[in-house]
Amino acid sequence: MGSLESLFDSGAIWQGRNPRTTSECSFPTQIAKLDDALTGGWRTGELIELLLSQPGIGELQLLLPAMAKQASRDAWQLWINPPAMPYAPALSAAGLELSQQLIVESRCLKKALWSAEQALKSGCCSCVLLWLPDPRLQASMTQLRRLQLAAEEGNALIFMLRPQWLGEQFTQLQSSPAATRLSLSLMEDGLSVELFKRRGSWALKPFTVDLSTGLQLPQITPQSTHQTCLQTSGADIIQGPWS
Amino acid sequence: MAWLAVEFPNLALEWCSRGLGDAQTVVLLDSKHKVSQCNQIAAAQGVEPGMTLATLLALVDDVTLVSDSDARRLYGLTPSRELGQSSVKGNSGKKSAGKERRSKQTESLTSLDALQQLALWANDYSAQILLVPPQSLVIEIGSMLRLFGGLPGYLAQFEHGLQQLDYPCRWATAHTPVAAFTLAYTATAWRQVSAKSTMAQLVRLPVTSLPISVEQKQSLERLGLSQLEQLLALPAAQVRKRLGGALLCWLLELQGRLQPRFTRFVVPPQFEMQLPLLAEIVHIHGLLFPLRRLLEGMVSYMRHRQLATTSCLLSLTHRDQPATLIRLNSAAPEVALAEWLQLSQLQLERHQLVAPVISMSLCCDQWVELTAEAKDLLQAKHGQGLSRLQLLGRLQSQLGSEQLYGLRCGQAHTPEHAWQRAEPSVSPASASSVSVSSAEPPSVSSQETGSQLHSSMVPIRRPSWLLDPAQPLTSKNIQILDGPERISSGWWRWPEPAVLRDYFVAKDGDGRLCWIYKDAQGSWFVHGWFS
Repeated sequence: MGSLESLFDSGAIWQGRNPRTTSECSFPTQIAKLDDALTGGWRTGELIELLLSQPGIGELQLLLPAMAKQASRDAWQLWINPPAMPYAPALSAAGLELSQQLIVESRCLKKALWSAEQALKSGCCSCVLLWLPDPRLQASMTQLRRLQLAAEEGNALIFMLRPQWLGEQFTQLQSSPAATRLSLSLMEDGLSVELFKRRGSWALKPFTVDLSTGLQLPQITPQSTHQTCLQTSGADIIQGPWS
Repeated sequence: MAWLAVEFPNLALEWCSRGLGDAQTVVLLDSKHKVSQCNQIAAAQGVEPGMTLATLLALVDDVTLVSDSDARRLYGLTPSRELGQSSVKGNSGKKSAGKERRSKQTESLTSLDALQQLALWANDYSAQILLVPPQSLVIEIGSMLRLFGGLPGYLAQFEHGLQQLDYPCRWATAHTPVAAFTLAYTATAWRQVSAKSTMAQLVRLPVTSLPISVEQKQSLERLGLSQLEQLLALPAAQVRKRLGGALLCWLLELQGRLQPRFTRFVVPPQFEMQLPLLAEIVHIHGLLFPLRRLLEGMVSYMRHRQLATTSCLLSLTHRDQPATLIRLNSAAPEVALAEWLQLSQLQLERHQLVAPVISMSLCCDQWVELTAEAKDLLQAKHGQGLSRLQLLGRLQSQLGSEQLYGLRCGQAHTPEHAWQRAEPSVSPASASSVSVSSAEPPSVSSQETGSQLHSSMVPIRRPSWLLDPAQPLTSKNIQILDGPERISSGWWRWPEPAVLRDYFVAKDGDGRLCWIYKDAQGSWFVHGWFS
């Protein structure tokens, strides 16, 4: 029995029911449900793939707390080919260090992947957010595997953000060497997260997280006054003496 | 006083045939197109200095000829028309072909260039260096002995350095510069510096081997003087009368009674090194090996002066086209050879050669003082352990600096001016001071709508994605969740259009939280996503 326990301890025997305990290299998303599913949060040194139904659905709210936690480290945080401009005041408010942000724009897939790999390997980059320059271009298994190895070497967070659908193709069905894969899409009651691949445990059924609490919006009561706002012309905006 | 002289035989030839391998026959021609220097392979085939070009070509069939650039000046030829370096190849292996002749032109190659470079190298061992063209250096060592642990320690280190330099050379020490030079010239391996013993060694030298002119040697022989000892025994006035003032000067210099007339080497304020290539280079990757030599020179130059640089200029000379200039940049002042090699490799990959390269040179004249960087001792190192600037430098080299930028908060109220692209910086202090000042909510004129009253107490809400420029709102199915927030700015910049917008947080048809606004004309735009 003793020998079996030592095998358990060394992690040689995998038990589906008991996922890995929280490692010290994990960064919580500050969303309880997701943290539980990820056993503690985003883990450094492994490729994390997020499949989005469209950009701007709340993906940054999942990532920014982890990035803010790494702001104390004197290291770059790379945004490679972001779909829109990361807005500096919002990032600053989320606790990110603006001087650490580095935005890379490269239309060439090879160069984008090269930048990500170099940054991960360098040891002076705490986080890489990677969007492929053209979603239709696919990174090969080898290229992704290289990213995975580079992330292990540099002990950094790497998120690859890809669309859920490429034309008729459902990207979730493509195989990928990424250690953790999630699919995010918007539902009526919040963001639906499907963690369909994770290390050391089973895939999970989709669950919903409510992101609106983070925004501190007032109670949503569809008000007729707001609805009419859209139809009225600009006449209700008070014109100043300047125009 | 103690001096050390090094003589590099066949320096010009060695200098330009470096890295060529030993298998090639290389011959240096003088101004009259006669052989002045040849390498061992050529010597084995019977080539001797003084041989004419015709005799040479009769002896060897595959030879690389290098003509010393001094020859060009003598002939008064323009560099573009002149046959600077020619390679004559006879392919004896093939039956059909006769003698294929090919001429090359390179930039000037002087043995003085090579001597200057070696003087830079010798600067490691002494501050005072005398140049004795064409192929000797005299180094003052007396003042350095204490630093190097006495004469044996100094000589051991110097010899080790010479071995690494890997040039054929002979060297000797003496109490005066001229004595040291004479001993090295006559290939006497003398390793002592005391005046008495050195002179005792010197006087045994036959006059025919001394570094004096042929006429002087002849007149000495005519007088029956065969050894230096006999010459030194003569009274100075007699020497002057019979043998001329020049020889007397030389004798006085030899004994240290007169200052030698050698040129003192002064370290140039800028680094410039030229490397003629004996074989044309067609591919950009082929440049990396010779470039390494240039970079080694630059790095050693910088290290000894405690300097670093952020950029240097690589110039590639082609035969018929203007030279290609490539600026090699580094984001941070850099002094490490490995880093420069990597950076230049990345930057060269972005270029294509327009024509074969026949010579290359590296030049650098912008320096910054080398400062020690404070590093964290306890922090665990991950990956390659690069500094942030080094990583930035690599990325910039590969992608071009215009494709990389940082972020900072702007000082204006309008959302599109509340952030700015910034030069990527690694100093958190300067950037955070900006962000702190602007992290305060921008002044927003709030407006009363319905029953809701927004005051400045409400924390400011900004989207994490900004669409720049704002996009027209196309979705009809919009549900407004919060607002409006009026942003009015820029009216003082008349006649530029003022910004007068009411911002709302809204949910679009897909359920995304958008930041939309209505401008003064009543048009609706999406300006960001709360993500």
